[in-house]
Amino acid sequence: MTSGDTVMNSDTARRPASRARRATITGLLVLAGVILLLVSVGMAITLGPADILLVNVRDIVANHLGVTDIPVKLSKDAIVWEERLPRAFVAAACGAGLGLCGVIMQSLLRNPLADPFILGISSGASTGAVAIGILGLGGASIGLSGGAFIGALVAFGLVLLLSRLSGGGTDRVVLAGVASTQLFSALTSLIIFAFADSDETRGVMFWLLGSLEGVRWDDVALCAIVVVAGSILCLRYAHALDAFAFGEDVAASLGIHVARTRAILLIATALITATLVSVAGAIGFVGLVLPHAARLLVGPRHGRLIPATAIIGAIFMVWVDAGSRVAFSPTPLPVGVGTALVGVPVFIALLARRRKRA
Amino acid sequence: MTLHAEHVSWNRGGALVVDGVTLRPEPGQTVGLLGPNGSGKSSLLRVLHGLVKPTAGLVTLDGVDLASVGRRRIARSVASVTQHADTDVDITVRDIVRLGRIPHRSGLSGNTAADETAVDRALAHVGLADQAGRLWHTLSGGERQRAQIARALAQEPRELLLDEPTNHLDIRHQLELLDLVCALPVTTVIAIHDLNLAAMYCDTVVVLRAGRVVAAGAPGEVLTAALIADVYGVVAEVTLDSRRGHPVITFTR
Amino acid sequence: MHQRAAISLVLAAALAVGLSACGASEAVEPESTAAAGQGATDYPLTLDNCGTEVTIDAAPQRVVSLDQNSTEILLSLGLEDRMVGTASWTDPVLDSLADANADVPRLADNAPTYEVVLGADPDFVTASFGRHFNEGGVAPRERFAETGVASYLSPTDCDNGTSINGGGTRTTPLTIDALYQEITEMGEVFDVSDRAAALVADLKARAAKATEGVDFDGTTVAFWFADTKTPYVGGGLGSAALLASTTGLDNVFGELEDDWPATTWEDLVDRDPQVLVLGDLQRDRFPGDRLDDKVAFLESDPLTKTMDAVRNQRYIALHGAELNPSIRFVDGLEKIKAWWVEHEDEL
Repeated sequence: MTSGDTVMNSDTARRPASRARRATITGLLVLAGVILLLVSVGMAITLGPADILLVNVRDIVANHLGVTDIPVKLSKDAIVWEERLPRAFVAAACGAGLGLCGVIMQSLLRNPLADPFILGISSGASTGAVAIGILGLGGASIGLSGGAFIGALVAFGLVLLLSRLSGGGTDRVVLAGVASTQLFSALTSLIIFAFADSDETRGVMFWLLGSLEGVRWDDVALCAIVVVAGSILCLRYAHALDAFAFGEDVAASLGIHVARTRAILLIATALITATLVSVAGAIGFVGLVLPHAARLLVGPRHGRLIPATAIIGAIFMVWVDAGSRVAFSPTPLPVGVGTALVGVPVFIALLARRRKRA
Repeated sequence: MTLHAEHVSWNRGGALVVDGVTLRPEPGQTVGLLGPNGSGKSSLLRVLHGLVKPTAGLVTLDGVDLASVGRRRIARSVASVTQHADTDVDITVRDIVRLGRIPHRSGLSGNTAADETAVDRALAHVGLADQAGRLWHTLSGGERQRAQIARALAQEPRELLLDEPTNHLDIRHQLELLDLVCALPVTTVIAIHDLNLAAMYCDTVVVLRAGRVVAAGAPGEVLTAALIADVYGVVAEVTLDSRRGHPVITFTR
Repeated sequence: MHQRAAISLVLAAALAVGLSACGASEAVEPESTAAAGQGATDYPLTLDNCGTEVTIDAAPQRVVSLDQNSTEILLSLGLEDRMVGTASWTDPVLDSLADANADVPRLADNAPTYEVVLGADPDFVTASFGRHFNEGGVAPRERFAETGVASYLSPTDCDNGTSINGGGTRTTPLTIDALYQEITEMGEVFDVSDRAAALVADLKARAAKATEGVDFDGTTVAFWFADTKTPYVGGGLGSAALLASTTGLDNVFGELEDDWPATTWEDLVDRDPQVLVLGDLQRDRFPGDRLDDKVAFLESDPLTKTMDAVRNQRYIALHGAELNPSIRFVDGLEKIKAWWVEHEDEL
């Protein structure tokens, strides 16, 4: 026993140093990730249908930062500063937020195929948007985004109601989410087929597939606040999410308030997702694939998984959005198409990896 | 003072699953919970751990009503290992054991020195110290159970509640696991199927039938042919092995 | 007791059915005397209509028009008595045709179903947009032909035997002659060629007057149809381009092939048109349909308000139908002239 103690003690003596080192490594990685994100944003704003040289972009950014005062053509300045830059930031926010919500859903529901849209939110948002846009409900006061947000929350409310009626618990939530998704998808289709002419259908299609066109600085503020607040909240629940690895009973035995934790995280996910979807439409695959990719890189512990998913998601979306802008220039490609085109091969690769080791 | 159950009953969906059970393990003891399927062993363990509230009676921890003790505090005193814990996550043995430190951690704090010490100790206890980097899905049934026990030990509990932990293990691992459990300095309540193993390893046994306690005491006193016939419905022969100090039960075909 | 009641009930039901079947058969109206045409057309008339050979045996008496453009041509030719259904309305009917339109049944606000169209018992079906004749539209032209209903697609939607709206792309620019051809052919089909010629002459005269003295001399223009997120603009070969070429405007999106492609604000701002033609859509369903919404958006959005055309408020507002190759096209030209007269000096 004594020799064992001695061994433990010398190990313990080494422990604080290595822990500090580990924390520093994590901190450095996060910093590196943020720098990479900023670099990505900087490069993404040089891409687009409008012909703007790299030097012009540099001048425009420097002007706005107060560093220089070089005369730049007004329209080019506006394109870079009022459109491409806010768009890149919203793309980053969407990537981070949807990835984050994907992590929560997959860990909370213990389902590797879960994503933020499993709660019916994107379908509800679509119904809300077409109800405003095609049926003309609510007059001009609520825009498409407002309608989408309301629709998203209604769908989520239905999920909560259905899961409670059927006894509560995780698998009930999933089933309720499936039911809600189907219902609102059907309603969306009904409205489009019954009431929309071809012009309106085209207009709605962009929105349904996820589009960052028309995004401006006020959208940045909204998305940034929601995603940052959401990330902080989720980090606080990192341990709780770890505890869910072996199911709710084990989590409860580890001291987690299962019902309360589940409720808070579901509501947070719903609000973050509803906000992002109402700004940018239903961007698919991000919430599903990115958590898996991040898990491959940093492992399953949520203290690292959450920031990693957020950063990877942000960088991913910035590049996919830039690509959607230039792929078929000047015709814009809905960014949701881009995420699917990139996301599906990635997902297949991830599945293959799982199969190989199973 | 430890976890006590006083006349607890639990009603699930209209059926009385636990009926007036009183259980007062002595500190450091290994208590065996016996009984056929459906006798309420698993449910009793859940009630004891505070996962569900009893519909009658009281569960106390250090004399305080369990329902009024905070969950994290309970988790620092009581730890459970169930039969079927499984996960899809690619989690290492070390990280599994680290989960046991969650009740001791707060908020965003990472691992402290105390946490890592507890984890190392728990791994050493179950003999997985050199397997700490292996992934869950590569572990055998016995190794998985041991990892879960290590996780429970990392909680540094005073009480350990085990629900048929030896069910899916081969005989060697069954014996190794029970050796390990009995050597632990914590109070253990273990639901177990195998009467002989219970006789070998438990200080006291409590026999349940239809949610009620039908007998409690030392294995030598409780496990009689009459009781076994009554509770399990089989014919058995019980010989008290004075050399080993515990009864040996043989069944006839 | 129950048995007796049941039997009586069955007998009563049988009796009721039998009696109702005893009525006289629904009379099949004999073919009414055709509204007298002027006798100029030689029937049977064969037309090559966008890759389909159409044979008209006699002047149609019951025409269903699937689009507003076609409807307004038929009404302008005084054919309301022979119209039994209209559909796909994008704007309120032209004031001058409102009375004539009042008695024509509207089958649908958007595209009707095949059953609804046949329910009106037509002998002729016209369309301005070819998507109605696709699978998934109303019905393919062959299907109409199977029930003896001849069909007609506006030449304005036709390029080398393929429908543009039905999925083709223009290879040659749209000309106003396609519209005149449609009117003339309708005149032939319905045997009202004089009226058709008069209408064409009237339109030509108005068009000439509307373009007289109007020469924007290469001023750049963009046509914004709808949508504030992904603006739909007029491309290089369709009616928007025709409006531009007729008036001397230079469409900044002239190199795009589609009639109304989607683009980005970034691209539009970069191309910096001096004049913006804005679609004032009556349907008012999406943000930015109405003219006021479009102007409000342009002047408040941090990106678009930097445009030269927005800062100087060089907007020409046209209705949806005026941006399409219909008889209102000439109204569009007149509005452009009106703007020209007022703002020529600014350019």
